[in-house]
Amino acid sequence: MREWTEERAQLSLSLLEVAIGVLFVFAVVSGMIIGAPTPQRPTTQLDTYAHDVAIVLDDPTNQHRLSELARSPSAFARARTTLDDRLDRLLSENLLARIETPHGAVGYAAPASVAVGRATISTPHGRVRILVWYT
Amino acid sequence: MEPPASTDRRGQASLLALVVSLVVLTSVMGIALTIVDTAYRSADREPEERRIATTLAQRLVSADAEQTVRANVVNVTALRALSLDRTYPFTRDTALRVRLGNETIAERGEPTGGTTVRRVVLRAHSQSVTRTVPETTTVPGGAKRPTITVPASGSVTTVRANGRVVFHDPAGLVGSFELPRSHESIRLRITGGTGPITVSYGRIQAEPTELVVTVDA
Repeated sequence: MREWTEERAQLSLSLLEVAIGVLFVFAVVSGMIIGAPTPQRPTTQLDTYAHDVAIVLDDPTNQHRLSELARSPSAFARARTTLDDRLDRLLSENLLARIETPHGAVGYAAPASVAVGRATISTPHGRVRILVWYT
Repeated sequence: MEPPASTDRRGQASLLALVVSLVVLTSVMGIALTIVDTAYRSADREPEERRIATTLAQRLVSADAEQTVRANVVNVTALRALSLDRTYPFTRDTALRVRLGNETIAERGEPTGGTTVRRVVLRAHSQSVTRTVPETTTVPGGAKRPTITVPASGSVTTVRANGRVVFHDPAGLVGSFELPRSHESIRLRITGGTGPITVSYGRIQAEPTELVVTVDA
């Protein structure tokens, strides 16, 4: 009988301390994070640029509208040079842009690690997406 | 009497457990600090300024504003004539600056260090074009008041726009005729002309530039 009581399993105090310590730290951290002001998405300005590009290029009084690029592969081939030109002239020198459509893309390719702003236009034939980033 | 066996079995912190727990706690603390630091660093400390700047920029370029021809196309004269306090009263107590390209349109106070919002716009100015045309020609879409002036010799009999006859007189058309305005380009075909036929229309020339709004509340 005596040996049995002496062999009792004992909860490792260190483990318990670690658990409590971790919980405590997380409690403090979540208090700080919840109280912090909301972060602003770093690409808000780039998104605005992309939205503006979409509005300006999709204007119906132009010879080739942005939404024409999505209509069909032949419409894409017809409109792409004009739109490439206009896209180039539209943005200032520190910005680059790309138009992506179901039939192909116009403009430079965005580097992978850079923040990119986006805007999308839905047309009856598919979506046209505009990407803008700082050089 | 033997000492109680329990002294041999005293609870003792094991070194291994202590080391492991210290490592875990330190790394948790490090991760937590990184999260908090990122949250604070990317936080927007002036949400009110940003709200005013964004709203003002949006209103300045919106399609139903007085100073725009259509969305994101700005008439500079109308923009300069704008009174910001009256049209946009939410900007009243702030220092702000509005620039279009290289020109400062409005400036009040010293908005250094405020929030800046930029929009891509087209600067529009009207232009009227008059040219002498051959029998088939195209008037670009969106032209204002496209007008054909026929020579007085009266030899022009028919004017077709996009394949449809718009003016016809077998005895010969005389004078100036205004074509219906269209969003798309108008293909003109003029039959029976000898002598110069002129086409004139108004056009909006648009040049890309940036509208920069800086607000310091």
